[in-house]
Amino acid sequence: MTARETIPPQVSLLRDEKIIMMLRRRYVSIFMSILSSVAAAFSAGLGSTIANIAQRYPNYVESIVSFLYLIIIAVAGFFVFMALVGYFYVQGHLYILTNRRIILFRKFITISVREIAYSEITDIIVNQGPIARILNYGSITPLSPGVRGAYALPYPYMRRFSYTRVELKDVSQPSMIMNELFRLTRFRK
Amino acid sequence: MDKQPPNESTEFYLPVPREVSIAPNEKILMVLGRSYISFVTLATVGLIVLGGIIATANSYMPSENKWIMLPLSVFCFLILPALLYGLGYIYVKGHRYIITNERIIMFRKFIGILLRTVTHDKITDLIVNQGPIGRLCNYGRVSPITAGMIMPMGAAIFSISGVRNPYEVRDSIAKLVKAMQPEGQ
Repeated sequence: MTARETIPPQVSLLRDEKIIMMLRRRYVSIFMSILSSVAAAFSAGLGSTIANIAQRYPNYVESIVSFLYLIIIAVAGFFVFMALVGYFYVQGHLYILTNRRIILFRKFITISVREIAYSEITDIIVNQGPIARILNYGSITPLSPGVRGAYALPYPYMRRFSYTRVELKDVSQPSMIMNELFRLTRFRK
Repeated sequence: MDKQPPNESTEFYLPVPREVSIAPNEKILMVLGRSYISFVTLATVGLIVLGGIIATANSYMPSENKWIMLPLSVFCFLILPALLYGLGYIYVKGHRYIITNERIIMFRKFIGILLRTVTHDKITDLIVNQGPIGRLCNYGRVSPITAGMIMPMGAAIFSISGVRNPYEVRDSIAKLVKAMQPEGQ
């Protein structure tokens, strides 16, 4: 986690800036995202589709069984595909804590970089869902007057829509990182 | 929830959760918990509304479908209250609000973990909310507002909810905020 890695060319450090930590997103978190997406799609669409098949076809039991097989194959295929794509997606996330600011970097098809100076941080919010608690990862959202509280809903197990990099998503040991952020925010020189 | 506040000058002696770490030069001033009555009030209002909906549904329901009202009523008036008040107790016990000389830490551990930390110098407003039952039972919600919150949506952000003596808590925070701000502000 703290190991010095090569920083992407899109990120440039100031002359007197020192890297304190480099964090990456945990790969396991992508599985939780996939599972929750699949579960949501399943619960939203499956019931009505089965009811539809049962109404349309007289020998509906056979049709439903075929449909379920199809669904299982589709879900398994989707899962494998997303796990592969997710690996590269997760590898594209890099969070750099320096002695002056936080740099949130994501490179996956597109590139997005957010930089925030410690002096601009107003709130630090840590979110951990139930699985994240067991596996000890979580998301840390540093709020600033520019990136405000809509991203910090009071329920950690809700999935939040965020197309821009506003949080240190799914990093290991979030409580420890939050404490380090507080220390840098409050006691930095 | 196993650490004790480290010094003798602490005003409240609730344990500090192990997920929260305090900086070496930071001093804990208060550790507050959420009062159970604040949750009970909320849950009871919810159950009364649910009871009203069921009573209305019962009066408009055709007689051939009324059999469903018995299991529904058993669930809503026996099982659901027991679940709600039981889980509510665990939910309430998962709240800790730690006020130090540097910051306010709001912590909730229930299924997931939610932690918000605000340093005193970033607080722009302090809002106290008390409902009618809160006024009677002397509990309320103290919201430290910062520039990072959009109002009125910011009102939904995790705050010091359901604490006893909310005005005392407000005053303590206000003193700390004042002490942190530069002279003349």
